[in-house]
Amino acid sequence: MTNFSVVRPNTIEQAIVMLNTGIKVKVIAGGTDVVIQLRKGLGIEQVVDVTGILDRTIEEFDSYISIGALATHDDVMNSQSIRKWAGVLAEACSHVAAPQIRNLGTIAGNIANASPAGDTLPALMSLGAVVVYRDQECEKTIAIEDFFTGPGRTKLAGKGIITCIRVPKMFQGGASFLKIGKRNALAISVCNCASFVLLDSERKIQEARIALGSVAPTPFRAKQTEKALLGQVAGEAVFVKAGEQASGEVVPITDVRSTAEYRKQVAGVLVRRTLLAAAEQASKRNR
Amino acid sequence: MPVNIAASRDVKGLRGIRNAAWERGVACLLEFNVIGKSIPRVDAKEKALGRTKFGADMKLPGMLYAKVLRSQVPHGWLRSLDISKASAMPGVKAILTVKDVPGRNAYGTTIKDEPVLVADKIRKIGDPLALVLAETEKAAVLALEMIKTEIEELPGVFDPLLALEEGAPLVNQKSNLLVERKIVCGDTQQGFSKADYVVESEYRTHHQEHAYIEPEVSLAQAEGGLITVWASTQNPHYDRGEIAGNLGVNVNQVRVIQAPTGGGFGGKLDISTQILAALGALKTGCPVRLEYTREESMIASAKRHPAVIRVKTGATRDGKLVAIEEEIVADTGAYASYGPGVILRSMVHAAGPYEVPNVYIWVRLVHTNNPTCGAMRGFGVPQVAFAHEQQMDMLAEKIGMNPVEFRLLNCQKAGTVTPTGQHLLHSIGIEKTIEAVREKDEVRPKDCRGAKRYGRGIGCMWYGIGYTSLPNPSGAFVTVVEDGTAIVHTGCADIGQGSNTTFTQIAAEELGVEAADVYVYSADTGMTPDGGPTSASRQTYISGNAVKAAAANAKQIIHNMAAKLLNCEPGELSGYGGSIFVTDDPNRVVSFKEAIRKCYEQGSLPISSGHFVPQTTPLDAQGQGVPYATYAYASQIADIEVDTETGKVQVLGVRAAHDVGRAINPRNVEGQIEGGCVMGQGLALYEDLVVQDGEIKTPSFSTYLLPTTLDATNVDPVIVEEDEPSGPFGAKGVGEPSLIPTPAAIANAIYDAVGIRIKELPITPEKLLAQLKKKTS
Repeated sequence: MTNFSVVRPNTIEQAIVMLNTGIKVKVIAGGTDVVIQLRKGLGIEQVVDVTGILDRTIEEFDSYISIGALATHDDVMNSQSIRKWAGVLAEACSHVAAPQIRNLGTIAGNIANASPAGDTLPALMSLGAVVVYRDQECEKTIAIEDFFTGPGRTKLAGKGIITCIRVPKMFQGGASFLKIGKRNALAISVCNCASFVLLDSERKIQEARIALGSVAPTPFRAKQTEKALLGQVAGEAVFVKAGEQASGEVVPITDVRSTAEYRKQVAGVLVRRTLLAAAEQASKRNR
Repeated sequence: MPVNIAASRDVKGLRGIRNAAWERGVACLLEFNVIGKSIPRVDAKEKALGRTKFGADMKLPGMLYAKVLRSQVPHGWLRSLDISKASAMPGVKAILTVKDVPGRNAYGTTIKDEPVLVADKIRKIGDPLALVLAETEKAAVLALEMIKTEIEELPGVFDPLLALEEGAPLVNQKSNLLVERKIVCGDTQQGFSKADYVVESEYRTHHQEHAYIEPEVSLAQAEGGLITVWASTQNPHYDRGEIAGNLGVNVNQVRVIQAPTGGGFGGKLDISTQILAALGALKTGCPVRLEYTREESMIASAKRHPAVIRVKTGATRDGKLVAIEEEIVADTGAYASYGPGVILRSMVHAAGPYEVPNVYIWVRLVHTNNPTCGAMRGFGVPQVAFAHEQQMDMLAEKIGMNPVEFRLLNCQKAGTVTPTGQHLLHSIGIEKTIEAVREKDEVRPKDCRGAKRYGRGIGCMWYGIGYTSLPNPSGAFVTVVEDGTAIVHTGCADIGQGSNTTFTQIAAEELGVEAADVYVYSADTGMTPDGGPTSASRQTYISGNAVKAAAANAKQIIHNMAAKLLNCEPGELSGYGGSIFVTDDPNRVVSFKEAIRKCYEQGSLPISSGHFVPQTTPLDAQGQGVPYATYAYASQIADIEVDTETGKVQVLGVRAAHDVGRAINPRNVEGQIEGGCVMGQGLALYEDLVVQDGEIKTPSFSTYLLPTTLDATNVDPVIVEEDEPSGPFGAKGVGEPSLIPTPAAIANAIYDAVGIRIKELPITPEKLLAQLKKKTS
């Protein structure tokens, strides 16, 4: 651990100024990722504590739910609104680390940390979530899938602050999240996957979003697989094929947690399993 | 006279006699008062309330914080160390190098090959180069970064088989081969000629980290000619000798007090922080605390030995084992640590708990520039059990026998001669443990929905109690004080296994008082006699016997007094729950407290010592001898589930039957069994210490994965009691046996589920999925 200072701005504007002074700065909320980075040093000179200027409310609007940047994983997984309108996100949150970390770590932090393995990210992508942030210019919105630029890197580039996340209500269709970790808790995903499908009355796939983690430098949309699914009748055979296609589409690496080969294989399995579960949910809701 | 268990059982038939006094006397002989009861652990309340002060909670006025500069390279020459800049930093009190070590600068349990601070040769990553002493931890850390080193790197050797080849870089001495031993028993060539079935395989096991919840820590003080060290340790009396030898002082000038210790599993048998903290205190005159971070603990501490095991096992068509040939090469890393003991134990146990007439075992222990390997729960036996238990299942399949029946047919029995030529006579519980786990063999979950497949597997083991073929004595003191309560002094370190509770029960039973009337002082070299290390599952058996002997000797003094009061011979008396009475006439009774009062009144102090040494003999060149006085036995059955699409294995349950001789405290024994099974589960499936070119790539708990509560299997412990006549009240040990059969049982269950044998630990989803793919394609 090297020397660093902690500042607590009173307004978002102040915070933005602090982020743009030229020294190496890190925003801290729950600290479950940042404290580890501080222990490693990494040249961080200043920590900006935003817990006094953001909020953790989860608010329901007509077409979307707004999640305050300080909402923890525990808040999200236990929110009635999220469970009703975006259950796949609640499910993903429940697989993050362990209760202690879920009680501290924020979902906005999970996004800003931009780990390719982050568990909430594929779920947010499958739902078509939008990130709302402030930078030196103004408040901006961006689709979550456009937000990540590399491992640990985002469009914010350390110069802005996420204020809330807007999650569209899932009025129809179905979604599912699954993860492969090396153990049942406190496991950084070897591969994770969230899929959303919308079926018509004949079980034909109208819309599909397949998002995977730990298989690319950023959370990954299997767009070719999604495209191939459109118009197909949901069913085991179609999803087996989708799994195979997705397995070829992902670009994982070998690291200390697993191998590229294994990740490719289980990515296909997770795509198939989440699609099956999502389709089942979608047809139930159609009835 | 101590209560004789075997005799007491015979008395049962006499219970019909309706005489109140006789009844009472018989009742006392029939059952123990304290032994066999699950009394609460003596340390439980303070720990549960969070009041226990561990080493890292201890502070002394003016205390300095120590940090160790460690080598980042696995092999090289330390050419120079420049401490000038670091020494000048604010808050830095001193920086010590090898020049400051006044003694021999070498330690080690079997071979003194490890330096306190490196003089010239670096043999592994993590070797200590310098010690910083500062007023704050932060100042110490910052100073570390300012020390300049000049190291000439040498090519390293990281594979034990390559290390044996000609021209391999030399780690320590002239040869990387540190130990080579053999067992030659019968004639394996002849044995195999009788075999109808032969199975030949190679197994590989990996490094395992102890992962005790408390990292290493010592607090040292040098005052008034005495160096006192409070240490998180399993081995205080050994620590004392190493501190004295390296500081150049007499052994009696060092006092090591075991701080409450958060687990050890063998990893705290070695020196870690003890000498460095003491050196810092001696050199600065200030108290010094040295505490490892988790990463430092993982990098610097010894690991479980990885082993390459090649084994050939033969049996006849009617299911009798006829021969085993086995070759084991184990990697002990840069320093010997407990390696020579580990490899010897692997050798002795290599054939498993079976009767095999022809055995040839060849073992070699090899140096590399990998992390040092030393003692870890099981001490070389989990490795060989992983091999012999899979061999047993493969042979059973070839013969067409049920694997349980095959084991029952071959397991050791009274009269069995072991591969080392030892005649086993009593306390051979293997058969009973197999029967005990078999009883569970009810409904098999054969519900194979989707990608899931269920399987069940068995694993068995034997484990010699105490050091291999070495005297490893223990001593104890017992003092009964004037109010009739008793104090026990034992050198045994209670590291969480519960020995202080066990000894409370043993002393209480032997003296004939209640457990609440006994207090145990342990592991303080300033006042307790040497109990030897908390290792080799030896403390209940060996220190338990020492405590029992000391209590018996004190009791002799007390019973002499009671005999005078009751007008009888001391030999006619029994003691039970605070009363002393004539065994044949329990109405003639005096209270224990009254007898003590008289003892003190008449100047007859009830103070005594006791000791115990297990009876062993050395192993000769053919590996023949009596390595242990007694053996513990166990059988475990694991139920597992394999996801055939992801290769993930979930352990659904383990039934574990352990022959412990006698359970002094059954709940404690069950705790050991439960913890061991989960540790075995970790060894089998999760814990993957990745070592590349001598560097641990997984030095934290986010990459080195232990089973969590959501992974830990349900363990169903079964206690089997085959009395050991030489044990305290018949007890043997259980600490290590509990994890030994688990990986083998899991591997056998996986085969049962999916027909794939994984012969290399850990059984990762990647390995299993690759094999599953191969099988289907």
